[in-house]
This record gives sequence, structure tokens and C-alpha cells, in this order.
Amino acid sequence: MLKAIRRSLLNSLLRIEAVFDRSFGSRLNPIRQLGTITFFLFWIVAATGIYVFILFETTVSGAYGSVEYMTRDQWYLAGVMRSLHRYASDAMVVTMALHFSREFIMDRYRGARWFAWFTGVPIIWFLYTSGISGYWLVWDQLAQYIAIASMEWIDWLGIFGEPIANNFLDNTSLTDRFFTLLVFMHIFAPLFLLFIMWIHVLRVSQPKINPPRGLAIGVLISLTVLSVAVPVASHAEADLEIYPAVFNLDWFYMLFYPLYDRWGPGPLWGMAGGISLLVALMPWLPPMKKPKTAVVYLDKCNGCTRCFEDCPFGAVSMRPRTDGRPYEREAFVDPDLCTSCGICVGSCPVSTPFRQTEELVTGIDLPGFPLVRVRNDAVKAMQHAGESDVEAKVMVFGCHHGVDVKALERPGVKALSLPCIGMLPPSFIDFAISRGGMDGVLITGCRENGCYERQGNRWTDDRIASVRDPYLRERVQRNRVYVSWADATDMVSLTKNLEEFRGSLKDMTGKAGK
Amino acid sequence: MNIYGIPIFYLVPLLVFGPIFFLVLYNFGLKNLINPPPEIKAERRRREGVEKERKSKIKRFPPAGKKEKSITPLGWVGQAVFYLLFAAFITYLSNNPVYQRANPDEALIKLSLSHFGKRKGECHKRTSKELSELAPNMRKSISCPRERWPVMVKFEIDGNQVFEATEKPSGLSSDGSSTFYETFLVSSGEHLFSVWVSDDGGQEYVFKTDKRIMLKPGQSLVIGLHKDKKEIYFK
Repeated sequence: MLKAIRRSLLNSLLRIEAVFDRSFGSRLNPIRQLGTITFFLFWIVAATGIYVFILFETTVSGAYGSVEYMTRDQWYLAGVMRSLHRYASDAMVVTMALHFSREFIMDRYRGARWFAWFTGVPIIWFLYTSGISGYWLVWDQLAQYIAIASMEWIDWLGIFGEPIANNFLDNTSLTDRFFTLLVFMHIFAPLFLLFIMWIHVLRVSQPKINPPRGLAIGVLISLTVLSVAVPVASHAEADLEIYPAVFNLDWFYMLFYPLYDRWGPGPLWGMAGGISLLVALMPWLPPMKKPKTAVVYLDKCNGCTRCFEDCPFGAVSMRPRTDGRPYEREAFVDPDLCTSCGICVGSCPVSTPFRQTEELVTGIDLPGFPLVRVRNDAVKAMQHAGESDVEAKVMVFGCHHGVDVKALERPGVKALSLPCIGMLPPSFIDFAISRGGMDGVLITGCRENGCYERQGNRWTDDRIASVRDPYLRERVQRNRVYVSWADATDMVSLTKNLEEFRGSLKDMTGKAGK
Repeated sequence: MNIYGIPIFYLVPLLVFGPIFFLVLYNFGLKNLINPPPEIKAERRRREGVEKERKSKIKRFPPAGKKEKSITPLGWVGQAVFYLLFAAFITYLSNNPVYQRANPDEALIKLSLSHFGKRKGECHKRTSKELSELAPNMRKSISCPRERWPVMVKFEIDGNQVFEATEKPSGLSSDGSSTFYETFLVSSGEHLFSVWVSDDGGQEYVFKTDKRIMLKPGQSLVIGLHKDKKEIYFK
């Protein structure tokens, strides 16, 4: 049931991504950059926050006046900064929520990915604490409402001897000292947020935390224009002797306050705690996925570091040799970090199908999908491709997350799907053409910049271009290799590309493409 | 004194905290950004070289697959529409829809009381023998048990009981105050408020107050207990 829902959501997501690809190109596609945009928005919020803080007065009587000064008297700079501070914070909630949803839909939170998922939960809490504590400082009637509601909500836990909501009983009970404490909360919560964001990407190898320049400029310009066109305004000044009833809520941050008004603190704590716990534990809830992780075969490993360089999750490390062989180092796989993508197998120079030995053993392999199986399956497929004088024979290599390549099979076309296209050693392309009797090889996998295993299609591109070890040998004619990155929903376009490729092989082979 | 319209005292936090903040950031890694260590510079040069080689080799060995097309004019329009919709979405939900949490005609009552219950046992005067058995700094002539009675509060509006609760004293030894914090929404107009507080386990009410108050729409009324005057106040 869950699988069917996720599949349907995934197809919708991929179609939306395809629309954005057409407008932005794959590199600037904002849907694939949600995490990096969130980081970028954080820096906008931090920079504008520092400026706003310079002009902000940290007293109960002066806070509102200083914010009004920024908004009205220095609207052209401080006012824009204030609006940008607010809108970028709002946008952070949106990008964070979308990033979270995308990772769920793509099923990227189990196994080795649990850490990033798990640390995402405190990020949500700290982001909300940062945003809500910022609203208190304006000290208008909205601040009054959410400050009191927040304090009452915290008081329900009973961790303070006296209710902290008592600080907001009337205009004499709120002191400058307490207000300064709120200011410090708004400074320290974002610092903790940044700290957790750093931890969030800590276990990812070569994490991307900055969006491509074009996208960053687009986001900054759109929010700046918005800040100038629709500047943020405050409510009337707070007055604890009145009970304001109508508000223009910022629904990104204050969605839960109407619920608080209706349910009270207990049920809201139950909901917040329950959902947080459920989300945090999701990586361990059924159906659990525990594929066999990569294994190093030391008798074939010379410590060349290619798997170490290519692993997108930092699961491979190099350590001093333990088997006495005359090499300095050896590869070592941390099973807790390995997603079993097989990219390390594709990077190993020993992973070549040309070896004549009966049992193909490589330096690093996937026990659940060993290289020998890849070779045997490929050989078997190529043997069954048939002989034809009119049709070009094409071997298709794809991945489990892209188009179902088996559906492309037809006379003259055979296909093999791998856990990730990055698992394919480039020598298999050479092998298919020089030994397998294929006229060409079509490589496919997730869309560009959208690899499920982060770097699979990029490393493959580089290996074919002879930029990244192991290279595809120069003797392989590149017009016999067709690269077409396609998501699971791109069957039609991939089929079209396949036929076009077979047509282009006509001149080289003297066969007629179908 | 103003600088470009900014009162000069506004700059004090910047002048005081700015250099401290900068020094912290500098030592936390900003120095590596401003002047990277030689190994980082060498690594950057290596990466730049790799990227240069990548670009030239990709030109030399292009696979037959379709390369990504450049963005069309329609694509640029699409981007503009996306940014516009994104901004519109942020603006709208940042202020709308308007939320009304209560009827504007209503008023809020905050009942906030903090009171120490009576001690559960009687204090007694220590004998000289008892005093001599204590450490010199502990020799207080009066000894009182720490544990206190829970405090009970009853609250009525216009003769209708709306709240009754008993709170234990705070603290591990149950020697702290008992605290109550409750809010009530009532319609504006005149109301009779009655509060009872018992601090000896409900045997008798030490505070009993009835007060008739005219509430304005949107008013916030606090009902509390003066710790010094030992009386219930309405503010």
C-alpha cells in the first residue's frame, strides 16, 4: 500500500521535475537543489539579521519603535533588510518542507541515510524556534499573542517553578532583562540551527551546501523584489492590558497557534512530540531495507584510492595495509555508511570483464549484486541479441531508479539494470562492442543532477569522457556510445532516443536501423 | 547625535559586539577563507586543473547522446513565472488569511496565583541538647518541617464555578510555592468574580474575595495574589 502511494507520488514528482528541467535546465533545477537553497536562505537571513540587529533596540519600550524606524524612516535599506529577513525565513520553511517531502517520496531515508534524516528532525524544531523567537522581538500585538501562547505552551511541561507566562501578565511584569533573554534566544537558536545543519551533512561525502550561482541569484533577486514591493509591516504596539483578537498570521511559522487556541497545550505537545518521534524513527520502521554492503577483496586491492574518491557517502576509507602485501594502504568499507550503490565497483580498475579467469573477482564488490553477475548477465543478454544484417544491435545499461530498461528490450536490443549506473565499469562498454558483438551501447540512469545515489551519472559521464579513472579506452568510438539520462517516467523519450541511436549506427555498421 | 539619520547609540552594539563576533568567526575558520593555508590552495589548483582537463576531454570524447540544450526564451519565461509564483506564495501566506482567535467583544481573564501552603507540621524550639548536637553553622533555635500543604483554589464568575484545582507545592521536598495559571474568555460587560484560596489542605479558605468589575471588549484582566500584602488583586 505504502509502496503504491510512494510510487504514485514519485511519478508525480518526477514529472514536476521534468517541467522544471525544461525551464531551468537540470543544473539549476530548484527541485533538485532544495537543501542547498535552504542553506543559502539561512545565509540571507543571517546577513540581514546582523544589519537589523544593529538598529534594533533591545528594551521593551524601545523595540517596537526601533522596528518602526527601520520600516518607515529607513525603509529603503533597513526596511528592505527587515522584509528580506522575514521572507527568506518563510522561504526556508517552504524549501525545508519540500526537501523533507522529496527525500521521503524518493525513499532516501533508510539504511546509511538514517543519519541525515534523523538530524533533520531537530533542524525543524530549531528553525521554528528561530523564526518564532524572531517574531517576539517586534513586540507588536502579534508578538504579544505568540509570545504568551508559546510561554503557556512551554509552561505546560512544568519545568519551571513559576510559569514563564507570568512575565507577560501586564505591562509592568515584562522587564527589559527578560526581553533581552528573548533577544539572546533569537541569536542562539539560529546558531544551534546552523550547528545541526552542519551535522546534518557531516556524513555525506562532498556535500553540496551552496546552490548553483544562477539559482542563488534568482532566489535573492526574487526575494529582494518582493521585499521592496510588499514590505513587511507590524501590527499595533503590544499592550498587555488588552486582548487583541485579530491577526495577520505568518502561516509558515504560526500554523500551530490556532491549533493551540482550540486544543490547548497538552494535545499540541502530544501531536508535536508524536509526529517528531514518528518521523525520527521512520528509518527503522518496516519495511526495512538492509542490502548487503560492499566488501573489499584485499588480494585484488592495491590501495589505488579510486573507490575512496568516488564513494558519494564517504563509506570507503583508506587505512594502512593489514595483509602484508607491498602496498601502502587498503580500502575499508564502513557498512553503516554504505548504501550498496556499487559506484565503488565501477571505479575499481580491476573490475574488467576482459579477464579470462573463470571467477571474476574485483577489488571491491557488492555481495548482493556481484560484478560476476553483471558480466554473466551482460554476456547472456548479448548472446541472445540475435544476428541481423538489417538491425543495429544495442546493449542498454540502466539503473534500478531510472527507466525500467528491460521494457526497452526487443530484437537487437538487450538491457541490463544495475543498482546505480555508476556501478558500470567503463570497460563493460568496450567489452559489449569489441567482444559482445554489439553495434553500440546506450547508457541511461536518473536524470542529470538527479542521481538517486548522488554521483552515479556524473562519474559515468566523466569516465566516458576519459576524465575520471577508470577511463573508457580511447579505442572505443564515442559515436557508438549514447548517453541518455532519463527518469522512471521518461520511457517515451528514451525509446525515441534509442531508435534515433540505432538509426545513427546505420552508416557505421551498414545495417538499417529500425 | 545622528549619523545619516541613525542615532549614534544604535551603533554601540555593533562597535562592541562586532569586533568580538569577527574575532570568533575569524578563529573559527574565516581566516582560512581570507587566506587559505598552502595545502588548501594546492588542492584548489589541483581541482581547477582537473576541471579544465574535464572540459577539454569532454570536447574530445563526446558520447553520441543528446547533450542538454541551452535554455530557450520560453524557458526564461518559465523561470520568471516560477519566481513570481514563489514570491506570491510567500507573500500571501506570510500575512493571510486573517486569523480571528476570539470574538472582538470578549475579554480575557488571567488567573495567576502563586502561594506557599502552610507547613504540615508545627515548628518547635530546639533544646540546648539538640542544638549542641548540630554543626555550629546549623544551630537555629527554631526547627520547622519543610513539607507544606497543597493549595486549593476555587474561582467563580457570576456565581458559576469555572475553575477548581489543588496544586502540590513545588520542590523535591514539597516546600515550594503552589502555582496556578489559567485563562478564561468572557463576554464584555459587568461580571462578579469570586476567588477562594485555601492553603491548609482545604480545611479553611484564607482568602475569599468577591468583586464586581465592568470589562471592556478586548480587555485583559489579571487576578493575582499580592505576596507582600497577602491579598487578591484585580488589575
